[in-house]
Amino acid sequence: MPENIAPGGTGSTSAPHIEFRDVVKSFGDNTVLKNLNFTVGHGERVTLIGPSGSGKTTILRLVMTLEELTGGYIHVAGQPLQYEEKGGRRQRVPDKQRRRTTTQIGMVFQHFNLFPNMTVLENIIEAPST
Amino acid sequence: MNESWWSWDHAAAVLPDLLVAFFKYTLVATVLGTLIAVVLGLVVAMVRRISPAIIRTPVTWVVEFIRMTPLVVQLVFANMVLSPYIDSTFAIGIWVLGIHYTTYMAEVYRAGIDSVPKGQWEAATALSLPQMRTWRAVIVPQAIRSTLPALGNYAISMFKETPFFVVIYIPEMVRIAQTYGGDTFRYTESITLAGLIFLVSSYPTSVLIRRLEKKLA
Repeated sequence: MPENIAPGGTGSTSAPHIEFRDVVKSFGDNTVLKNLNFTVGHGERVTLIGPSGSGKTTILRLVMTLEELTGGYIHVAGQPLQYEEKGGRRQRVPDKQRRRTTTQIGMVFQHFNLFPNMTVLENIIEAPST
Repeated sequence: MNESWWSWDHAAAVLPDLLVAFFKYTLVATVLGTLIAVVLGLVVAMVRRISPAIIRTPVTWVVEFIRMTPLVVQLVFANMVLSPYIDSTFAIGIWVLGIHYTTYMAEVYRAGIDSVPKGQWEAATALSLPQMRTWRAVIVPQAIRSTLPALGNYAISMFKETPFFVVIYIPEMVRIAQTYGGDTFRYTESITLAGLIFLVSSYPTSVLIRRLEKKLA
């Protein structure tokens, strides 16, 4: 688990744009993120630094909903991303709402993952219509 | 045994009827059967991949049942059950042929979908593409490319299985050839010509599919 992320924020004064609350991520018996708490404010630049296998990519993949949360909550722009607390219970966020939130986030993959069946222009303009 | 083994007169006499049967039944059944199999195969492959278990399980059961039983049995059975409700035996034959091959095509599509790298699904998720758009713009175009050789093979195989229509009395090419042989005792000409028509028409199809593969590669 990355240890150099200050719990509860990185010093920004604005409302958090990304918030990790008690986030747990396990792959089988291997718990990669254990009760991770941190916030990223609007316009703030954050660098994740850590040894290989410490969970840097897992954090990004969780924000992109490419990995399923094992425990805890992630909020983006005030909206719950994968799970939300409703009536004291942890519930899954509906797919439509989840997609609405993720349209505000972008990610460049390490290996790009371009669509080989599309032209360069089509790759650039491919986006949800809403 | 004074008669020669081959008579050009008999060949010329049976050829027009064979050609009519070929264009009217064999070709139509193959084209429509392939269309049904190509479209329904994709639907079945997608249903088996994304639907909940309550739908997926019965669909899988039906697909396996159709794949594990012979086409001839299905043709006879469907004809017996459906003929009171559907007037056209030919339509029943086309649907049975199409649905039989749907189950094979679905497996081909499944393999094609599995061959699309995981990163493509992730890229689509990262772009927040809706599920239908992900399938239509990203997954299916890439999956189709790797499934073309097998799809072509099944289309040709379907073409060669249209003579099974003989069991439900559709006057397709082989039935015409047999009837001519029965009437005149000249089977050699009629059956040979039927085989030659299959050969001559299969070859351009396989060339066309190979060209399509190259174009999409």
